[in-house]
Amino acid sequence: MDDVINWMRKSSIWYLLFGTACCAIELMQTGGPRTDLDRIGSVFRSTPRQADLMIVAGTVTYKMAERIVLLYHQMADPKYVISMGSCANCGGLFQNSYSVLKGVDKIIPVDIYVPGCPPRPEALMEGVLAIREIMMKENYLKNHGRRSNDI
Amino acid sequence: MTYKGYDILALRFGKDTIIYCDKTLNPYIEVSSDQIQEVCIYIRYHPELKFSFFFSLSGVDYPEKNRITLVYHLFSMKLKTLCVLKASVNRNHPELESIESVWKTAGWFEREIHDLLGVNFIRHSNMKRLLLPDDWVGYPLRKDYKEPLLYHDMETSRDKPS
Repeated sequence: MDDVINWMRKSSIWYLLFGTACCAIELMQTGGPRTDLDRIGSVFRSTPRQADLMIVAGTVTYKMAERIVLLYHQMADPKYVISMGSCANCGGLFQNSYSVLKGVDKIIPVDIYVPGCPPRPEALMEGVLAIREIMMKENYLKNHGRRSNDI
Repeated sequence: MTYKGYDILALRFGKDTIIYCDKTLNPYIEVSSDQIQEVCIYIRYHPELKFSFFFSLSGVDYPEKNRITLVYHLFSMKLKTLCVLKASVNRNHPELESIESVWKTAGWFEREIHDLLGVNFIRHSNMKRLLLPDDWVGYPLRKDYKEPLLYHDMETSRDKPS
C-alpha cells in the first residue's frame, strides 16, 4: 500500500516557484523544454500551500532568510528541501560577506545539496530524482504522512 | 575637469577652500564639507560649466586619518568632461549637507552611504537605511566593523570543512 501511495507522491512533486538569485535562471531552464521537469510530474506552484518541494535557488541574505523560514512553515507536510548551488549550500562566493547567510541549512532542514555555481539543469534534475528515491523509501501510512526522522 | 573649469570655481570660492589635485590618475577637486551644497549648485547652473549629470556618489573610510571621504562624480554635456569632487567629514560625527535638492538622484546614493558608512546627510527627505534591515547594528563598510555572532538567532559563521 505504501508503495502505491509513494509512487503517486513521487510522480507529482510540485515545487515552490521561488528563486533568490542567478540559480533561478537555471531553475527556469530545468523547467524548460530541454530538461523538462514536467515529464516526471514536477510543476511549479506559486503558493507554498500547494507545494511539496522547496528549491532554494541562490544566495540567501539575512533579510530573505526570515521570509524563507516563513514560506517553509507555510508548506504542508511532508515537505522536502533542495539546496541548489554553492551560495545556498554554504554561502559560496559570499561567505565573507556581512549580509549573506552561510548556508540555508542553518535555518531549515535540507534533504539534497546540489553543488555548482550555478548547477547545470541536469544536476538539478538529478537532485529531484534523488528526492523521488527518498520518497519511495518512506513509510507513509505508518508515519501518518509525516517525515520519519531516520531518512 | 579642465583647468579652466577649476579657475571659474576658484574665482568664486577662493583658492584656499577649493584645492585642485592632479597628482593622481584622475584629477579631483577637494572641497570643504560645509561648502559642498553651494559648490554643487554653482557647478551645475553656471552657464560655462553646466555639470548637469550626476552619476556616482561613493564613500571611503580612512580610520587612520579619522575621516570619511565622499567622492562625487559629475559629467558636463556641454564641456564633455568629467569632474570629481571630494569632501571629507569627521569619522566620529559624520554630517554633511544633502545635495538631493541639486540632483534628485543623489538622494538614493546618500541613503546607501548612510546605510553602509553611517554618514548623516542634513536636510535629506528620507534619511533611513536603504538595503539593510532597519534594526541592523553598525555600518558594515567601515573598516573596524565586526560581524556579530548572531543575527536574529541565525549563526553568522560556518565552520570550514575538515
